[in-house]
Amino acid sequence: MTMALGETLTSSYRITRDDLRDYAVASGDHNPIHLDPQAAMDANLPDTIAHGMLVMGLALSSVGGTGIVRECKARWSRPVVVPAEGTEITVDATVTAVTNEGTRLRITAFCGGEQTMTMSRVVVSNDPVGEEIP
Amino acid sequence: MISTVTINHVVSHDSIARFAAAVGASDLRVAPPTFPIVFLIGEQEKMLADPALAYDYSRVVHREQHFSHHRPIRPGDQLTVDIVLDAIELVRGNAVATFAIEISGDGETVCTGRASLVSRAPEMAEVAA
Repeated sequence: MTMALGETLTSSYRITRDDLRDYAVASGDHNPIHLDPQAAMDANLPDTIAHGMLVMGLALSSVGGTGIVRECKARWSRPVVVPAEGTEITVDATVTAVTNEGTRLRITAFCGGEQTMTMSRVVVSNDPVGEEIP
Repeated sequence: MISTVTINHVVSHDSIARFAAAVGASDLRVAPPTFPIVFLIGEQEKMLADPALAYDYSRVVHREQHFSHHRPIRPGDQLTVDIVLDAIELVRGNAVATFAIEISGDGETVCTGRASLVSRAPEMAEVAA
């Protein structure tokens, strides 16, 4: 991590239904609410929604570049709806502390201006990738 | 505790590569931090499918997920995964299932975690906050 205390990194990700299919295969999460609009509507959702874990994974990839994520805790507040034309999420990652265990961040994901997921405490180790975490 | 399951999982390079591509991670030497979902999600669904629980998985969304990594997961790791279904409780009519997860390899803890899934009540349009 090369971010300074208080610095915010903003990243955007386009999410399409093809991405949801790829994530379903990669993760083994084949819940039809992510793949089939009718199944989503049967579950009281407006349309297919992104896997919460896809949003979490993308958000962590935005800061994972040079260190190892040691700690992450996500809470979802509303689904990311993915219509046929796809959608976009924005991820804000703010450094809240720099400690000997690594860089601590708060990460929030938004879709359509609404908050969808918050990680209040993410710890990214300063150790180079590949080295053991003590 | 409602139920507990222990599985063994060998991490392949391909599964890390596929998962990394899906979440936009570029380093393939270690698994992305949310990779354990690959061997957790199916087991959690099976545990909730116990007819005695009457849990409606078709209405499930993720509520909370926590991972604490003691070391990164790498290709070739032979992992033992303990999954405990701790509780199912009603929160404003939504059924929240809570899991505790412990992942170890060679007798050492690799990762601990917690997950909560919510089966949304039929009459509620919003995800439980």
